[in-house]
Amino acid sequence: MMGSSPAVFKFKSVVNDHIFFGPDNSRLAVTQEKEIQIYEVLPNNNKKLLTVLTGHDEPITAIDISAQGLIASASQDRNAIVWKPLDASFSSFKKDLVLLRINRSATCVKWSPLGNKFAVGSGAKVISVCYHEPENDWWISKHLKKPFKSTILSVAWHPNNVLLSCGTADYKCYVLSGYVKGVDEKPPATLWGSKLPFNTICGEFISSPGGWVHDVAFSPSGDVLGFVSNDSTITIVYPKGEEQFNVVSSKTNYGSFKTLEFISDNQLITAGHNCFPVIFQGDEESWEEARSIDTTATSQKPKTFKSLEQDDDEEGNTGSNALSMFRQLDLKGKVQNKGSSDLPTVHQNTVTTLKFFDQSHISTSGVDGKVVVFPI
Amino acid sequence: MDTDWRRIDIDALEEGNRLTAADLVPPAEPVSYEDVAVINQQVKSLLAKGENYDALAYSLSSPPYGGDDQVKALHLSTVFDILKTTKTSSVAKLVGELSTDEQDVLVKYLYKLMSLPQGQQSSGVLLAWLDKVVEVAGNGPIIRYLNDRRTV
Amino acid sequence: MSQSLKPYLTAVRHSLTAAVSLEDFASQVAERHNDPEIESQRTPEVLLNPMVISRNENEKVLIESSINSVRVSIKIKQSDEIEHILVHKFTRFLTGRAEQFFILRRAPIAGYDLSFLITNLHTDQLMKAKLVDFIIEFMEDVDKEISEMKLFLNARARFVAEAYLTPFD
Repeated sequence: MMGSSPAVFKFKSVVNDHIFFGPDNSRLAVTQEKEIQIYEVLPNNNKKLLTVLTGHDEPITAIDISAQGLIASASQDRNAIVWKPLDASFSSFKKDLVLLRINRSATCVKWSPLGNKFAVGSGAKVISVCYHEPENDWWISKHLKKPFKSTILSVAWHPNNVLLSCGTADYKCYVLSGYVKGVDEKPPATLWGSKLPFNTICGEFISSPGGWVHDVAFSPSGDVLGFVSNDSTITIVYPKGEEQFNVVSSKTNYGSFKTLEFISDNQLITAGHNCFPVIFQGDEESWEEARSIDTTATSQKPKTFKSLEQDDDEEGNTGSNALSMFRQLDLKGKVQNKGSSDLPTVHQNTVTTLKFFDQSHISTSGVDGKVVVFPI
Repeated sequence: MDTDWRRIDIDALEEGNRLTAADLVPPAEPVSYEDVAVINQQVKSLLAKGENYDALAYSLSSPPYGGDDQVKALHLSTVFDILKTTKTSSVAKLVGELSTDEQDVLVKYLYKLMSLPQGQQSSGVLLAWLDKVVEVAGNGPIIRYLNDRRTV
Repeated sequence: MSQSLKPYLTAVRHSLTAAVSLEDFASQVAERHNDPEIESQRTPEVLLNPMVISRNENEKVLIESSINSVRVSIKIKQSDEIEHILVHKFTRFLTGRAEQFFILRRAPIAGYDLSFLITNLHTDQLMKAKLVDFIIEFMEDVDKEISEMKLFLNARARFVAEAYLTPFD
């Protein structure tokens, strides 16, 4: 249903995270401050609000959907909630609070590939691996405590449903086991390790200049790990078995990246403070920038730009309004009109998340309150 | 006895719970004063021959992260000498020939020098260098300077 | 723009652009708090290296960055006592009205004349490029403003002196 040009959906405030789901990806959930809004996607990039999920009382940091269609949300109010759709049209949900047992903000949430458990990273320096316990019909968690010394900024699952990787604010990226007895089958040996009881640490990595690890991802095969850090460096790790690793890193000149996903073992797509998605490709030798997805961002310092959305009437650009107000308070009281200094990209501010929409599209959401579906 | 229990920071009592600034610096090989003095001499002779690029690349390829303050100060003055003696017209070319890692280190020295009185006296030179680095390499080296805990 | 001001402002612009890459970050020290980390200074791992950009000993900018906030402090040129007084009056005027200036910090940090505090809330609402533009423009204007005021003050002093001395002519 998505065409060859970027489809743009606009929302009132910052979109920290978003998910497309439902039949034909026709439903869209976005975080708006303390609530999750569920929309039905209509033709011509229109959208209809179906329902609003309320229950968090601090901003929501992340949402994710399981293979079975359960939505998990994490918030700065130290809680995670699992939302279960009650009807096929996704207009009402049952909410279940998760027993995270943390006392700081929950920063990220990811369902495991099979959808039988999910991981929540937090400012309490633990990852809660949460799973459903049918006896009491509640979601409980086990803590991965070692070896974290700082806030967990990102988590990602290995395709084998057991290993997970995370990035922290003290510049580290870890691979460890999130094997839960009674929930998981014993996993076959991988290059990351063979015996994997809960909280086995399989690897610890750091990008050479160092920087907060904003996002981590495994490649579809699970044999390549990539992470992006605040030093605008992309680091790729190839496990060689027996705790040997080959680490390749690529320094870039963009603002640091906030999110990444692997297309294949040799290609990844990333975005962040540069405001547009970029594809990198490479192998065990080196990784290089291949191309930008956002075709409007052809050059890095373009001067002119025509707005992509014609119907800009509703929200307008809150950023420039606030700034022009701000400008009027300038010491001379003068009002300056320098003309449009919009960015030449679809996103006008930092891209916060990037996900696969389908085989040939990705969807991104940003601080500018936009969700965009780009063709790759 | 201090009875103001409201002000007791209970998290601080839990050992290893908090990182300190010192914990964050990655371990580096110790560098002795003699090692840096040797580099200083070699750079001086390279500069005398007018081989500024070699001098710069040589001094930037081995920043003394593990050295003490004295070692770092000497290497800083070594780099500063090169920066001061290089002709403004050849700065852009020189920066372009450096590797990404060397450019990152160069930016570290530029910011370090600008924060010191000795460097502030010749800020014009430092600003010109910084301008050229950004022209050649973009904002990447500055972002990496901000994040890198290994200081020069 | 004078010759030596341009490279200075360009350097500040690049440094600011690199430093202003902020995100929401809840405190990991205090429960359910979300403070500017650069102000609280309680979590060393989310603070970045400070940057100083100097034009000379008397004119410099300090940029301190963290995961969710950036503090920019400016030392304005003060070549003589009159300028010193003018700068003091001027910055007092601004900081006294700090809440109207959105990003202005009520008190400058030690050794500087004026500080701005930019948090992730500001970068969420305002465009980063314009925020940087504003600070650069401010720095450009403040120099002009001060020298204008100094000229004006001198002119007035001359006029007053003339007026006083006319009877003795």
